[in-house]
Amino acid sequence: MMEKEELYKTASLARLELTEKEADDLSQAVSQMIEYFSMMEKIDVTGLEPTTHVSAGKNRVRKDEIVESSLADRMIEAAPEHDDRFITIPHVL
Amino acid sequence: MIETFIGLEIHIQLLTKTKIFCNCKNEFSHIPNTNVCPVCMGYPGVLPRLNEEAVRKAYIVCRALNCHLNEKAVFERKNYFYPDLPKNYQISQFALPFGVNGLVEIDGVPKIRIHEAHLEEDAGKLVHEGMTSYCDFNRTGTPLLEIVTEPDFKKPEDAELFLQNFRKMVRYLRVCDGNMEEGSMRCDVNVSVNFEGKGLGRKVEIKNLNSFRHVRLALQHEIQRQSKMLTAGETIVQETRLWNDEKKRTESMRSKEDANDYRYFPEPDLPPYYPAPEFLAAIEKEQTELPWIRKRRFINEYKLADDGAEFLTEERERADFFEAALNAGVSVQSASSWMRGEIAKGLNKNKMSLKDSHLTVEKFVTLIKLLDEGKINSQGAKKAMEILICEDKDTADVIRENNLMQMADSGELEAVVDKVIAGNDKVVQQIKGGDQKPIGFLIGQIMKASGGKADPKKARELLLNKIS
Amino acid sequence: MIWNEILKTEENRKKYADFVSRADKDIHSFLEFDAEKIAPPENTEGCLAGLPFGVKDNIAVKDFKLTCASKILENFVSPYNATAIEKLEKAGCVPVGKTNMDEFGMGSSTDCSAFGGTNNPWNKECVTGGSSGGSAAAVAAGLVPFALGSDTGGSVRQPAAFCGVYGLKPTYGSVSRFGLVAYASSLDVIGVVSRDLDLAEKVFEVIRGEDEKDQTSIPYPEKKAEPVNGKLSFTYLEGDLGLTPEIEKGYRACIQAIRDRGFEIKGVQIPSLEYVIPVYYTIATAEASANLARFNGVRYGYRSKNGETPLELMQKSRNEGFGDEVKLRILLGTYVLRSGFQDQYYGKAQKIRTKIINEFKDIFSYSDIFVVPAFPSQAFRHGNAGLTQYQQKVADKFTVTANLTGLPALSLPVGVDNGLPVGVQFFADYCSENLLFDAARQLADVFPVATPPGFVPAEKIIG
Repeated sequence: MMEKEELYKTASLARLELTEKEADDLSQAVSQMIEYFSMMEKIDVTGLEPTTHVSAGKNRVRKDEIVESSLADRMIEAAPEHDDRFITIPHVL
Repeated sequence: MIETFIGLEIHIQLLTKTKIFCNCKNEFSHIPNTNVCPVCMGYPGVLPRLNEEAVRKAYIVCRALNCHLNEKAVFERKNYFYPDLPKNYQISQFALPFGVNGLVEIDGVPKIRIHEAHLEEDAGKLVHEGMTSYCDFNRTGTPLLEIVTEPDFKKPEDAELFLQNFRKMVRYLRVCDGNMEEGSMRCDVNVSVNFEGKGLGRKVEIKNLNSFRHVRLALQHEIQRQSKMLTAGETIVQETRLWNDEKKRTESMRSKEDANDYRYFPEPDLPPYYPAPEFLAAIEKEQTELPWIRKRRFINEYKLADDGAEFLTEERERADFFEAALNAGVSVQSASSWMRGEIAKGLNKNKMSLKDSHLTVEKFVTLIKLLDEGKINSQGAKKAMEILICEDKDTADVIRENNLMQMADSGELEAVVDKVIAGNDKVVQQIKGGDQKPIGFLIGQIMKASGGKADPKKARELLLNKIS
Repeated sequence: MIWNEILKTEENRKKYADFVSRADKDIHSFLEFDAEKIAPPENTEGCLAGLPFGVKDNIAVKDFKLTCASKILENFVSPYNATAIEKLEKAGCVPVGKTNMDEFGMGSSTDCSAFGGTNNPWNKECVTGGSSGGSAAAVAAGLVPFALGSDTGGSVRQPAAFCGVYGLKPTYGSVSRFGLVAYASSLDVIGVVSRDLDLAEKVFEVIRGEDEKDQTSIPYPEKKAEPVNGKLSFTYLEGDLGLTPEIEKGYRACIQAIRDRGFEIKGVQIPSLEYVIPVYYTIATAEASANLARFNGVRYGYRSKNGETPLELMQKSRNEGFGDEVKLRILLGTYVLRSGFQDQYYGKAQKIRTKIINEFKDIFSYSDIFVVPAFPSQAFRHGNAGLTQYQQKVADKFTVTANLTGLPALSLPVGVDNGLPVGVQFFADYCSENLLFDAARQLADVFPVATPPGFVPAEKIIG
């Protein structure tokens, strides 16, 4: 069973603010999966490189050419709050 | 004895037309959120597209720092939440950056090992005012190259000197404008102290350093602070501190949140990068003699004094101009004194750099030739130089239009001399009486009367002939 | 085909919209279906011209919502099109609505939608599977001739099997992911659901290809893949697979049908199958924890009213905006990446992934099609009568290998038992989708696509 403290620490890294009840419910489910994950321990992977990308591509780059987006204004409008062109968030000290 | 260990983390914004992962303009804008698109705003469903120019410029620096270039480079996600970081992870490099294990040798600074140089994206900007934070994402996605040195500096002055040279280097390589005030070059430092022979101490990071001077002052203050604590047997806390320039001290950055764990992992949206031999050959071609090496050569080859060589190698354009003038036959003495004198003065007055002025090597060389041949005098040459700097004109045209040719015709000169003699009878009598002092005054009068075009040597000859 | 008539006139479009609204009432396959947004096709030439299609709500369609069935994006409207949508529109297809799904693709039932689940057209008490459950249900119920879904661990194939239709999960990178809201970037791919095998293949041919907006996309080979031995050869997964009797029966019938058609088929074992679930969930949740970090209430989407500082705002917006299953996976993914645990979990999983890839390389070195069940059971019931979230995850073992390896796979119906469809899936080598379709065509008349109760054929909609 995962320690509550570990769960809170993980939640804080993930910027999830768990209530007591949520923490109780989730720690069960998380622990169950983590326990399942630990079966990977016994698998021998000697000599194997990790696979991080499955497609064969490499060195994909694009040209350094300006294409101005027409969506800047629309994105500002779509923000939950904005002040003129700034997107704003509360900052109460 | 206490030993000091200083390391630098330098960020440079690369001079590309577009951002690192999207086609938005990579350009400062006073209007918030203009150079933005769904990619740099971290919209759902969009993907990063790596800019080849950012890659090229990053490799140019890696190579200049003598880094080992990894055969395979991998972008990784550095995970942390901050409102100015749209995706809440920064695409950076970690295990396999472009360059590792570099070495820089600058005269007057110990050898500095480079731990790594990696390419990443810049974050946006937050401005706090009242009870609101204002987010501007124009800067988000600016290509940044981070250079991390080993803690090889022993003195704050060395770090400062290194940074000055580093700045010149990135400008020589034309990858960054090196403007610390505007943040296109930024530097964090880390410093630790320990009793000699005991190895590294507890590392303290210092941020908020906006100039080379701040770097030196902050280091000096911090070394003093840590040394006192060490001697007093106190424990130095491993932490991040901020430089407070008003109070001239470093201050603990009360950590708002628990220690970060960046959870780096390979960026699945970008395939690995393998620098190809042809690509590396092209990078090699972009290398240039680095400023501190050029300076040393100028001292040895042209027998220039340290400050002269320093001045001439300050900018790549300036050093190139100087050497091009020499190649065209101008003497070291003449080129160097003109560049440090009239040219610097003229550029300064017009707030121009050599690059954006109208002066070219050809125009300069022509001017010096005319001067050496006595076709113009130094006064005329100076006047011509002023015009050549700010107007798009040929040397010959400037001289002709402004009537700067010396009076080559002795008849014309003679008339002027006669006129001056006639108008200054008292002084002439004085000279005739054996007082040599007023000769200079008369020559001055001749120059004035000729509109500066008289050859002072010839004028003197003529005057003395006529008086005696 | 009558489908390409359906949007031709305003009258037809209206009839069609009325039909969908009516028919979808007790299925709830669409999250957004707006008759106003149905435009005449951009192009009237070509075999796909005029076809309406449904789009999973994690694929961007310009000016349609893009909610990912999450409260955090409830009112988010996409300002752009996914590349797959651009290509289909150019071919004359018309996106008519956004289909339901498990929140951010995290689930195997579509019950994890923040806006309520989807009912299986075969039996409304049952789930459609997931996470592309809305797409599968809309196709099965005859509301659209095809729909796009996304497949991260079986999310196209499993709901297709639950609803008795075809579901293609293409080779990783063969279809641009631009415009697909990322769940697990190294596993995600846009797929196709259809009742019509040829149509599914044509749609795939339209949407595939390298895209400069997705640097992990690959150029699709011009030349069609050929069977390794000149004629299609098959392998199937043997051993005790823990299947329900209905699935076991259908699976055997499929193998028999292949044999009856004169193809060679032999049983193989995949030793890695036992641990693919831990590997899959480690990688998928790790990537998801980063992919879902962008939803923080700052720039778009749901913003909590209770945050007074930037930190609070982000935490509360995320906490109020995400559902339980999403939170669980974010926590798991964050945990397996944490320093001190990363080597043990994420690092190890990426190495085992290599091992799994090697096992499949071996199979495709001597055979073309690998046959495996799509899911151990038929569509299960909604709620507590069905499978728990944990049981659902464990049951993903037959599908996730295609994502871990990047291989293409197709799930196909092999009959109906007890009133619910039975599905199996075929795997093939990279960029060998044509062999998947060829193989499925061999069985098309043995296992024709069945129609759920109340099914209305297209010609009746406007007729």
